[in-house]
Amino acid sequence: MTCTDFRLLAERRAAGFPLKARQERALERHLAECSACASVARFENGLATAVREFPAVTPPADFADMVLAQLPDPVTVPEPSFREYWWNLALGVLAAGAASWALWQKAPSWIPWLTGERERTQIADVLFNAYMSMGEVSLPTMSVVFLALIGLTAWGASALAVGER
Amino acid sequence: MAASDSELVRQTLKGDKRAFGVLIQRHQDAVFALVSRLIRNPGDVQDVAQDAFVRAYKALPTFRGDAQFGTWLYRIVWNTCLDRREQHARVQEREVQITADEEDCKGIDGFADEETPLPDAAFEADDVRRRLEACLNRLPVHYRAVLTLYYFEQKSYEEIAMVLDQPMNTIKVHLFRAKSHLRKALLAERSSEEWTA
Repeated sequence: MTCTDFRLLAERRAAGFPLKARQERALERHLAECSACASVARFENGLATAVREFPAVTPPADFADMVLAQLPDPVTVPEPSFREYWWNLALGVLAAGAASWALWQKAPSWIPWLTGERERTQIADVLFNAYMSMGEVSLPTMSVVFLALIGLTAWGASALAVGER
Repeated sequence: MAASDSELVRQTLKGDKRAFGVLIQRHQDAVFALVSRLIRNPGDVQDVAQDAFVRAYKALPTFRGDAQFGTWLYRIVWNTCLDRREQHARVQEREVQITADEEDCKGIDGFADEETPLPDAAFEADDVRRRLEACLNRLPVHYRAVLTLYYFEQKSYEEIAMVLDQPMNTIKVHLFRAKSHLRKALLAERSSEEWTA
């Protein structure tokens, strides 16, 4: 270890961070031999003491009450009401239904975020094929399951967004 | 068993002001200690601490628990102190002037400024402490903040960086420079005493 390492250890010890026993022993040995580092260690100790013992104002006994008296109305995070809860669910199901219908229609041209006809068709084909290859389940049942999954996801996301799980 | 800070924050957010009162009592000493070291006028300390707690209460819904409540609170205290300083900007401060060559210091990662002469062993411990206290009060506020959070609050570089909203390397630079200033200030004082003796 170099003098720089020992000075860093002296700084950490002065600041109150505990050293390992072997670091402590090595530091003591080094400080006994190196007067420059011993001087730094003294400075560090003096500085730490000066910072700790710096005259500080103490809070009055009723400080907490004084602050509480100044506080505005409780800062509560609004919890969604029962009505809002079902409204979120309905919106989620509607959104999921709309998305499913759009996919079923192979992403018609009014979906603005798909770039061109060719890309729209390709993406829609991929999704449609994935949807159709999900098993031997009948199409109406599959649609219901698909809708329910998307609806639940949308519902969960909207509930999370308002801070309620 | 006493409720944790996070639990008290949750209770406060449910509308229980008394829970916030417990948080105030738990942190008020540390906040006063920090503000006392950052604000030079002792008469302002209570005002600033009070303001900081009110701000913390209003900002409580934004506390996500990523950091400890104390660290989050210190950041608010720090910003409140800076705002207060801005309000008193016209009052001229006698801070230790940082000259351009002092800015360009080496050995940031450690205490490696081997060139800077240090106070020698002839300084008595009490004497050093008394002089340091006087010099501390003349340091720029950023340096005082870093010194206080490191030596008094025992915050790591990372936590100090979070509180002061600065990169960790800047914190190391500030710590290094603060000590460098203090060493030089001590030596300057000593030289002038020898000169007049």
